[in-house]
Amino acid sequence: MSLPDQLESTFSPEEIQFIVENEPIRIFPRVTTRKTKRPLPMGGGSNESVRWKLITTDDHNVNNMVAMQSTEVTLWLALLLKQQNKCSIVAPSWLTLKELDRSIQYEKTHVDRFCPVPWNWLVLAQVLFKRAPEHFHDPVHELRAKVQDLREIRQLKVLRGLRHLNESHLQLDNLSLLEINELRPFIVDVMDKLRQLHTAKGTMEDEEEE
Amino acid sequence: MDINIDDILADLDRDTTAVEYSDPSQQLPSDGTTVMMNSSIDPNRYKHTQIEISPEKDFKQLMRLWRNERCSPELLPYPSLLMSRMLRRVQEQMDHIENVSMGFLEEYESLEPAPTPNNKLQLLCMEAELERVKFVIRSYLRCRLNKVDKYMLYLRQLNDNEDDPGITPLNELLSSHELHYHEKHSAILLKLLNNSIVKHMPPELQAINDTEGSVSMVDEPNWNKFVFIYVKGIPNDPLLEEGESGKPCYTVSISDLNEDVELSIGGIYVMPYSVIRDLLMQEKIELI
Repeated sequence: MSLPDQLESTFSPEEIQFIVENEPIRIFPRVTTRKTKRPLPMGGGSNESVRWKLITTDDHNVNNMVAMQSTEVTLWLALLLKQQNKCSIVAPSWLTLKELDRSIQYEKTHVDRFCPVPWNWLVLAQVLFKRAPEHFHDPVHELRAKVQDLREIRQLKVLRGLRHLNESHLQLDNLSLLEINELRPFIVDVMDKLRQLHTAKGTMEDEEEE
Repeated sequence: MDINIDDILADLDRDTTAVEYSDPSQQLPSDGTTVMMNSSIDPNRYKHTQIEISPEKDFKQLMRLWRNERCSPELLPYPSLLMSRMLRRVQEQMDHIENVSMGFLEEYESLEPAPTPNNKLQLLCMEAELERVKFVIRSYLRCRLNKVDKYMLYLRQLNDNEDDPGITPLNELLSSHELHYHEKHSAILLKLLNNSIVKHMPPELQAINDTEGSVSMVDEPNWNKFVFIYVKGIPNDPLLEEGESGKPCYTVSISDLNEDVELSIGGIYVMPYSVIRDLLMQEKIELI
């Protein structure tokens, strides 16, 4: 009741995006918030009122934005500034055609592992394609296709790996948060069932021995 | 108004001397507004256990706790100090936003050119941030309430076995509000069950916490539920060993399968909750 049923077993995609939005990203601000040095040394107190006061992140960067000098802020703040046309977002280095191609190659050559993309790659790519498409060097539709390719290869690998589900444990290095999240209900259910079967088998054997 | 703002800023500075967890006897009274407003903790009182804390770290910690709580099958201990700090900051930020938007602070600016366009952007961001914090807190508390409901009888039993040292006492597991809710709610529910069904049953079938039969009537958390974990590790941990791949790792054993598993730092695993519970409590791993 207090928590909807569908949220009990896993996070919603929106919540995953929320989590990712707390990560830092590089931006070029178009506004200046840094205060110029004032002649009066006693003026410190009056500076406070126009200072940005944030309660979840260090507000040093936000208070020292200088137009066209890159700085780092959290993603949600970057998106908000972008929406107001106050900054441009620098695409992360792995989100280029070259890097994506390399990742796809890696996925193809290593059948049994995932390539080490950032844990938030899928969400970040989607958010940036949607909200800041004009800030990429490469054409967005090509990037989007590459991201889709990469996602499909990885998904295929995951599905193929499902046959190895067992009752003890599983290792899934380099799988990203969104990928984990969509697999979670299925994997957890299957492994729980396998475990139950295993325990049942164990007790049956014990009884037979007696 | 100026006194007000200075107070707030001073409080924020003072905040850096509080501690993460202290023993419950030292905890602040957590009955709502008094905590949010009463921020004048004597910094010297906690001097011997000073831990550097900042709003940023607190929020990260809250996000971590929220995600752990959402993923874990059992109810995790309530972080009273962290929550009182977060709630106080939310309250102060609301006051601050009010002051800025009402223009109470503008008299300061008489020497400067009017900062209005920037102020609007600033307000927008501060309000967005505030909503984000509120969302996490709300979702976190709702998730906890859900578990309080679900494990009502189990939690009542915890209260009865207080002497067992292996069990966290109920008043550390729940906040005072949650404790109050749990007591009232279970009293009402048990009364309803009793009046509508149980009292019409034969006396030997009247127990509602019978664990003797084939199916236990007390819903316990599923200790063997599989959870996704990320192995974070803490630096210089003596428990760390060198694994097969040469990376540092923790070794855990799944007792009923007689298996040992190496959890290397930075890895993602799916493990039964009971196996990794201790590592979770020591904050060496995170649930994801």
